[in-house]
Amino acid sequence: MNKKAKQGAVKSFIGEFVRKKTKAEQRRSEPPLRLFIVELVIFASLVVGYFFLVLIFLANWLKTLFDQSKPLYALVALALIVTQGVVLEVISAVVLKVVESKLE
Amino acid sequence: MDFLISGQHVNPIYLMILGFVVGVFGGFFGVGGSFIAGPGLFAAGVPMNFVVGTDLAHIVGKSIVATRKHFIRGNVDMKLGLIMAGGTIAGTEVGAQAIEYLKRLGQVNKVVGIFFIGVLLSISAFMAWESWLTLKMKKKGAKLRKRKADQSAISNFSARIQRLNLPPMIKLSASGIKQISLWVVIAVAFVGGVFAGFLGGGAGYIRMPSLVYILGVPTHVAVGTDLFEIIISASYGTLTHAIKGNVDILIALVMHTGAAVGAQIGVTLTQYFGGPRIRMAFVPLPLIGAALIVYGLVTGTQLK
Repeated sequence: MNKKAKQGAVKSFIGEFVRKKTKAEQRRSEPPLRLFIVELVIFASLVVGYFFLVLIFLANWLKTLFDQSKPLYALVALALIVTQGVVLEVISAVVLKVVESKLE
Repeated sequence: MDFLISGQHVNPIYLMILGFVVGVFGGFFGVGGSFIAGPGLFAAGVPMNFVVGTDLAHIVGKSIVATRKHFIRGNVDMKLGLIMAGGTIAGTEVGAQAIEYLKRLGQVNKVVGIFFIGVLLSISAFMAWESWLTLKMKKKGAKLRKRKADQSAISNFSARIQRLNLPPMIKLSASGIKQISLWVVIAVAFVGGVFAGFLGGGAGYIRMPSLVYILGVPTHVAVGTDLFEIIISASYGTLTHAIKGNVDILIALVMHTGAAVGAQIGVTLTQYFGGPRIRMAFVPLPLIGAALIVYGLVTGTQLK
């Protein structure tokens, strides 16, 4: 896929990610139970892997930041939880798309 | 695993499962789940001031996940959510200051715990009564209105509230409300904010019923709008509590990994249930939370 096509695919994904869907589109886009379960299992595995590869190593750094500057720690804390929220949601949407394309 | 900021040793699997359960509840009921998460953290040995702040942080991330799903279903009244955010932020600061006062007195666990139990029992009792009345009405063949109008045994109360003429009056089209006083909306939000700042979490257990029974917002829209509003108010709550040293963000991040998975399931389930059944299913949850707090307070031991 060339660069322009990739950019188009990303834009289209973002648009679909946040656009309000009509009732008909909602019914069409709801994955069948089988796909939903597969997506959930893959997503849960990625999340557990993320915990062991990333979160465990943050403890000391966060403690240092907490002791040194509470306002900065507050901003970092909020940024971390918001970023994690958005990233996990994007990952779940991507996983669902990949699973749908592979299994249908 | 050692969580250095709060100085506690908590099993991360316990936190993930707690987050997962809270995520399912959040996606389904449109509440942050702090009536389970807060007591669950307290039962695990986390001091109450950290419970309050950390829970606020955790639900920011979780609510983003669930809100997007409700938004694309048309269940989010953004105008209402943004207006409420202002009142909630003010209320949250009042609640946070109360926590600081209790910390100085060394009474935060006992006072917040007892207050929490009273609130949870009251909410459970009220929602059980209202949901039972509504389902009884439906069984007797009461005429069903359109989906967005929903049905409640005490919808006359919200109709009277909407007729209160306290300018400025606003229109909330996404919720099907022709007009309502701005001050009523801000007052409801402020009270919810005080609960959020004092008890932690997004106070959805106050705000969601308030949206339905006081403002007259349809249940499905109340679920989505509550989640949207929680993102804004809980972000402020996280900042103010973190500055006061009451947030262990690593606990929140670990809980949120479970919540992100649970929210997927919870949101999907709402399409299979009507408003009164969602409200009836909500009833036992605050009781579980109350039981966990009683366990922590009375026995002095915690689940580790």
